Amino acid sequence: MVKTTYHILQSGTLMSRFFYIHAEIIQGELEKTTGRVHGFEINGIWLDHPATFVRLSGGPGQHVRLYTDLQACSEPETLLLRETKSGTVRFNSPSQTVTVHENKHRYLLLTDQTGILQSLPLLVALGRQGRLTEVYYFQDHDRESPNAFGKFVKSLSYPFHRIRELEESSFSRLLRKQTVDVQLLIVCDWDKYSRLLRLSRNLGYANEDIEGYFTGEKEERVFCARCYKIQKKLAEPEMTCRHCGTSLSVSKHYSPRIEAYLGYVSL
Amino acid sequence: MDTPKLKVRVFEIKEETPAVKSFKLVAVQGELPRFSGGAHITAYLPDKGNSIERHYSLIGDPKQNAFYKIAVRRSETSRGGSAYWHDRIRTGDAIEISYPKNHLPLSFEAKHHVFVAGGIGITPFMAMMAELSAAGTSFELHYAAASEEHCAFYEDIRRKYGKRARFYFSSKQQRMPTSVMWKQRIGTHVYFCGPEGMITQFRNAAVRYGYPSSSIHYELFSPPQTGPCHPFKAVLTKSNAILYVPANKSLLDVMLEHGINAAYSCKIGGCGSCEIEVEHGEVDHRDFFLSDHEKTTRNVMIPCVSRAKSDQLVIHL
Repeated sequence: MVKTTYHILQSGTLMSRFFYIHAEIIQGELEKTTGRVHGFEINGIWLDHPATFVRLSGGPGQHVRLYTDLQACSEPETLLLRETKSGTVRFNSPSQTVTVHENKHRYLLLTDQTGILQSLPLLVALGRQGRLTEVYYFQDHDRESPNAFGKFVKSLSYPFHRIRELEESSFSRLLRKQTVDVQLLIVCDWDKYSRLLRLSRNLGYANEDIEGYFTGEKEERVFCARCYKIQKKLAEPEMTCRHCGTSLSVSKHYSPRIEAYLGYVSL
Repeated sequence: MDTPKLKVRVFEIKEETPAVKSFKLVAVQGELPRFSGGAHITAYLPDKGNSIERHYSLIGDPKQNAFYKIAVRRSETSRGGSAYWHDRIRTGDAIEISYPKNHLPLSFEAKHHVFVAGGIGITPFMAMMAELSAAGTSFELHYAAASEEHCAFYEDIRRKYGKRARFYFSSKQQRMPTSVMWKQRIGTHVYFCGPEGMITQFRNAAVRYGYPSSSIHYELFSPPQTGPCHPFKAVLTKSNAILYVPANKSLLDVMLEHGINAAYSCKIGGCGSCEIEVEHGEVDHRDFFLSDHEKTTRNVMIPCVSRAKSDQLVIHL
């Protein structure tokens, strides 16, 4: 893994929850505009928490902004971060990136509470490029309050829409009436991510029209070659189909259409 | 490579416009294979004791296979194909053709199809529109021609498809704008067939308008013009052969002349059938099959049109 090293210019907190660092490159190169990394090093101390970044400029003297969620950090880590005003920050090559396609004219960001950390650099990148963007926030329960995030989005002059739940019939109407120049950016938990992906593809969105990634654990599935039903994938390579009782050998063959791995009948 | 052929007889010839004739072909024996919208056949035509190959889109309704129908425009600079069809073919003549092949299929993912045709480029869309119309799938046609008189299948298209078809006649100073693709609904796929300049213009516009590359489809009838050709040497490691490719021939043609068993189909750089592995040397990619990424990362080339930037290529064939 290639580490890039940055000189910290500034730090701060966003929405009282997200710590950010604004830094200038010293060593290495960051090719992608925005993405996620698994952990980062501040002044020699490794913090094993996800962080997201946006590259603010390219070439020599590259500037980057790194975000992390203080709610995921311990008290000593939070104290360390809040006291960091200078020094160096290092992180590895991104584990996930999002490409903002330049030939698109409008961007719809679909996110939820778990996707805010991932959304921040995307919104900054889109804002810097002057892209027309709308944000749709899926609220999981009534006690959840995305007000701070909503204010942040509105401060960038983007429309912010709160969706109470992912009701497919109403949301599909919204997605269906879009035009070919729209790009979907989806960052939310696996359940919503997979449902939105399936919904978008069924409505005619091409793979290139959809960018993003899921947060948290992915629930993988297995397709039974005997009864054709689908079930949750287990850690073991051999399993029993819970629908028909057949012994299955789980292959590496994955169907993006069915969103499942093929389970061969074990002989 | 020996390609299986079909024997057909010319059943009917019809003058569609002063420059375009259509030909109905029936099987000499048995049934003709079925085909899908966008498919074409290769006709093997006699030429000074040899045989030349020319590709023609199938314009009939894919729901029936009692006959095939093609349309041929007389080319002022005919190299044997259109002149043969217009001047020498008679009803009842037998010719050999290939099985249907499709390098411009309809996308099954598309929610709406936009066809853009220039001149004889209407041909692949005739069968595609018949197929979509029968399925009740949404489409629209934009068709540019010199005039009504020179617009092949004008009445047929108007009668069958009504307002779904729009015509642009240069004799009336009507230009077919790229804006027909602007702000189409999500899931729209665009298809272009016609002069290379028109295709390039519409392709570039489609990208600017936000279409993903997988939603942009086109078919050329001749290889794209990509600059002067230089001779080069090709070393075929598996065949133990060294071939000299002159400026006026393709690597594929030279391989076939030397009896090398090379696969091929369109011969204009669009289908990828002739793709071969390159072991050494810099390829001058001139095809429109490989993506830009594939051209830089995969060690392959399309020998029917692509050439060498260096003096020599070493090929794994």
